[in-house]
Amino acid sequence: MTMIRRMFFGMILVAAAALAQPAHAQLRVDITEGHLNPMPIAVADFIGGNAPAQQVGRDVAGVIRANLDRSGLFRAVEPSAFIERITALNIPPRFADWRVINAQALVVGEVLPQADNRIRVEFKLYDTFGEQFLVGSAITTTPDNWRRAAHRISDAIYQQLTGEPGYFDTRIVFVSESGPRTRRIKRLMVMDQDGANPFFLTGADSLVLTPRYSPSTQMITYMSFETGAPRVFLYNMQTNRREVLGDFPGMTFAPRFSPDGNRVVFTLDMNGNSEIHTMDLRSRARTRLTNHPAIDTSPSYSPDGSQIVFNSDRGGSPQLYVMSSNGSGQRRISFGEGRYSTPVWSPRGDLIAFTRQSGGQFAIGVMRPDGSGERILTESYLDEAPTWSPNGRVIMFFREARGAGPRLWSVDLTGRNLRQIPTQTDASDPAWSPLLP
Amino acid sequence: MRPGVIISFVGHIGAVLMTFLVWETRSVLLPSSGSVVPVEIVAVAPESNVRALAEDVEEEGEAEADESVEGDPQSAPAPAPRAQQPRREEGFNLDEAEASMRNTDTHEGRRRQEGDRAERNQRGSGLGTDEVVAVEDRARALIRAHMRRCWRSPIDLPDPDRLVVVVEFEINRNGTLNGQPRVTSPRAGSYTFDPAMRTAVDNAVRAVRTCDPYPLPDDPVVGEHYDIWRTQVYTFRPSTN
Repeated sequence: MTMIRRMFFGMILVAAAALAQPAHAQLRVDITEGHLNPMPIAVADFIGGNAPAQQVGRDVAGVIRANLDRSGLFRAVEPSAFIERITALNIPPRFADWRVINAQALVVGEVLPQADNRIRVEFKLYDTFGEQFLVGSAITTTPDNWRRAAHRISDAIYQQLTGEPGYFDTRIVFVSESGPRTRRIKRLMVMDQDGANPFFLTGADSLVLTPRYSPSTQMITYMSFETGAPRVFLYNMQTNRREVLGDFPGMTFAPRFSPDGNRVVFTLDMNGNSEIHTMDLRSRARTRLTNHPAIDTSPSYSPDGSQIVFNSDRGGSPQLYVMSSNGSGQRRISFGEGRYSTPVWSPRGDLIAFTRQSGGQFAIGVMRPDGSGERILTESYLDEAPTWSPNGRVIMFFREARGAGPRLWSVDLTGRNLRQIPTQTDASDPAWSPLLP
Repeated sequence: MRPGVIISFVGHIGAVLMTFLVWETRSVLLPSSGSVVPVEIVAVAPESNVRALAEDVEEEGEAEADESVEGDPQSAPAPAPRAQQPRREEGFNLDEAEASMRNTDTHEGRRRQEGDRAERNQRGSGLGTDEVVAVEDRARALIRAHMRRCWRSPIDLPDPDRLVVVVEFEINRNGTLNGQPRVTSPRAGSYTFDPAMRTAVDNAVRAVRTCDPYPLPDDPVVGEHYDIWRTQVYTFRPSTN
């Protein structure tokens, strides 16, 4: 038995040594410093079954490249640098050809005309260094809706490579401005987040301000002088009908939906005193949340609906305050130099964006909900009215240069990716929609 | 994951072993005498135990010095470099190992220290402890500088401090990646519903691949010590400072 036991021990020790041996010869390194450069990504023109499909394929690829490029997280590799020409989706790409041009990811796709005059847009995303397929899907839609297909594919790529939801299949509602400054025409306009497909919601006969999307994207609330005094309106995107939110004796302005879409929080000015109120959209019951002789305005819900950030000059100058959604526990959170206004809670919940006026300049910045970690992202002659992308990574706002009209701009949370959004007219007061259903 | 596998393996083997021994002891040895087993072991392996003890006493101070060098390489006294001798030239002693597994060896700590020393000596290709540390430190500096351009730090993701990823891989003597990088932390499957962690893992693995080839072979100091940098374990730790 002793011999058997020895053999048994021998086997155990040989196996243990084999397992343990590599653990000894290891060089352990802590990597703490990386970069924030955009990831190079190649988006090949989508192949098509016929000439029109090929054109759609080129257009879809172009929109995807532009979306990813604009995010600041990716750098679309110039197609002229491509070595391999994609001719079929079912053949794996030659990864080495894409690595040579330093493309870390590759997008290929195909547009297939369907029997019912629709198109099927299919894509595949590859990791070129890992030589593996990452994600792919197909979207069937009408040919004139190819831009949405491109945005949805962009969102899928963005989510796969960043771990966060995308924001490309979204829209912006804003105030389109035209005409001389003394007789300015301000109309509501809606467009895709990249500036495409713009259309007007309201006419030129009344001045409008501060539009905001509902969580379902089907409703927009805004302020209008349509009835003479400033009033909060609700616009139904499905029926194209609008209605006044309550008939109050004073002015109502600065409206915003609650995260569940069942309430609107707004400012009601009566007898020169502005207070924050909510209205239940089903019962139309109104509740006052603040009660202070100072101006309380610009309310914005936290994404869980439990808190509201607002703007008040009760301390002597406009500053940011946070309270529970029932109005209790009001406390100041901004203590920096300058005047703080237009606070907006991030959809991620971790930050509050604001406008700060200081030293003759306007800045867009962010701070944590407790007021700590204040960071200024942009600063100019006039930057105002931030609105968050639905993933909480990008902020859109309007910028007005001295002597020029306002235009829409976006900046990401690093503050390094500042871009102008193309609009046909001057534009102000943007509001970013949630992801479209 | 590997330490877990080893611990699990040893634990299971230990359980089987104890069952085996208890069964054997009761069925064969117990009828004659309960003290037969330890006497038998000591009788078979006395020489190796005695020799090991004598050498341990002699090298005790050096083992402590080794520990202090590892903790604070700059303040530690530099022992004179000398060629290291393999510990057990006489070959593997099965009885000693068996005794160790039965927990009858009272010098386990010393043996572990010997193992550490042997590992350093083996890895350093004849280098002294200080030289090994110096080569390792230089290799780490080279790697960090190299990796800085390959790793996209996830510090712009929410709560980046938790996105720590450990990747293990081997590289060839010419600095190219050998095989596929292995993620040892977080555990596979533990971040299926955590997109931020999945992205952190993808970024780490992508960084290891993108940084291929590695510059270590070209370095005049580090290059010749392939055994030091053949297997590498990177802990990607986002720093928001």
